[in-house]
Amino acid sequence: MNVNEISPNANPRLSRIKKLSRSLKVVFLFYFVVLGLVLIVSHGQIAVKMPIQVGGQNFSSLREIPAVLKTYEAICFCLYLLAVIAFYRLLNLYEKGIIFSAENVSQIRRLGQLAVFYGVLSACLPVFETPYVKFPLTLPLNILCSPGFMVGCLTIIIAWVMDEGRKIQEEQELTV
Amino acid sequence: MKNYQNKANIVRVSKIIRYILFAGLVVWIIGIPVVLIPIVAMWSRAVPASRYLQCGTPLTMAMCLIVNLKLFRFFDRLKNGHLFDAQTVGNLDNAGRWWVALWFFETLFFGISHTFIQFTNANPLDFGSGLFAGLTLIFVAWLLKEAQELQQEQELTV
Repeated sequence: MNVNEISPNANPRLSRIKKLSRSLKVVFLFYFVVLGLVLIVSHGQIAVKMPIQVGGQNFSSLREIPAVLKTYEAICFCLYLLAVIAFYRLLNLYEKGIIFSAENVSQIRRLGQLAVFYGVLSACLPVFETPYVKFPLTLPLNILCSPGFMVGCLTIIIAWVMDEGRKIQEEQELTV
Repeated sequence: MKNYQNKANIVRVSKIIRYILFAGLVVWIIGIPVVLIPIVAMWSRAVPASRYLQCGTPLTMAMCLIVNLKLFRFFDRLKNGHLFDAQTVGNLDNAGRWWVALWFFETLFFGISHTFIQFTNANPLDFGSGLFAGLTLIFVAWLLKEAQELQQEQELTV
């Protein structure tokens, strides 16, 4: 038996968490199917000369987009994909009733780190685009004010708190 | 008291977030009267549509203040080292519930203003993120309740 699993029948809250995680997984998958369809439709729009929006700017063709913006978008997409995988794995663990395990903590921490990285990256984007404008002065403030950075920090704190929960559970298992 | 490895980190970061949230509280506490005073002064001269918007703004701000206050209390508890107790979990749970209520109120308020007053200063994507944030907080509070129960059991066993 996995020591990290809490007895499922003993706790109605746990069954609620499991049920919600299962529903969230379905919603999450549905969301990705819809998102994929939207991407296909927007690709069709590119074909009919609709403006392409990248980094808050409009471009008439893919060739017009600067290399920096293309790299930025590619990195953002990778971060997004990694966050999706981490979130899905986390939901999978909750669905199985595993709440306090090292795997959970590492997935939550990974989500936080990805959000922090995204926050830093999005705050640095104006600097990459125009390196001669106000480089070091506003950058730390931009990073601190970016929602990604704040959400990431909060998620990392949650990961630390969950790690404490994991230790309590391990102690509990050893005591019993 | 148990010597937790991550506790020092939690306390340190919570302290910083607590300061940021305190600054937010000050902004809301000053901001609400600043918005409210001109509304009261110009109430008799305002048209019904602008009265509607004027009433909604302080209410939204008041709800933001409550969410901010609950989060401030949550991080205050974390800063004091109370990770898993009823008050800490309760504050997080309440913050989530109020955030969902704020999302509901904002959606209703801007939805009505958009439909009947043609007021277009509303971004539907932002409202969705409010709901997501609130539900996430409630979900995390459930997880913390589990940990709280485990800790209570552990203390009883020992």
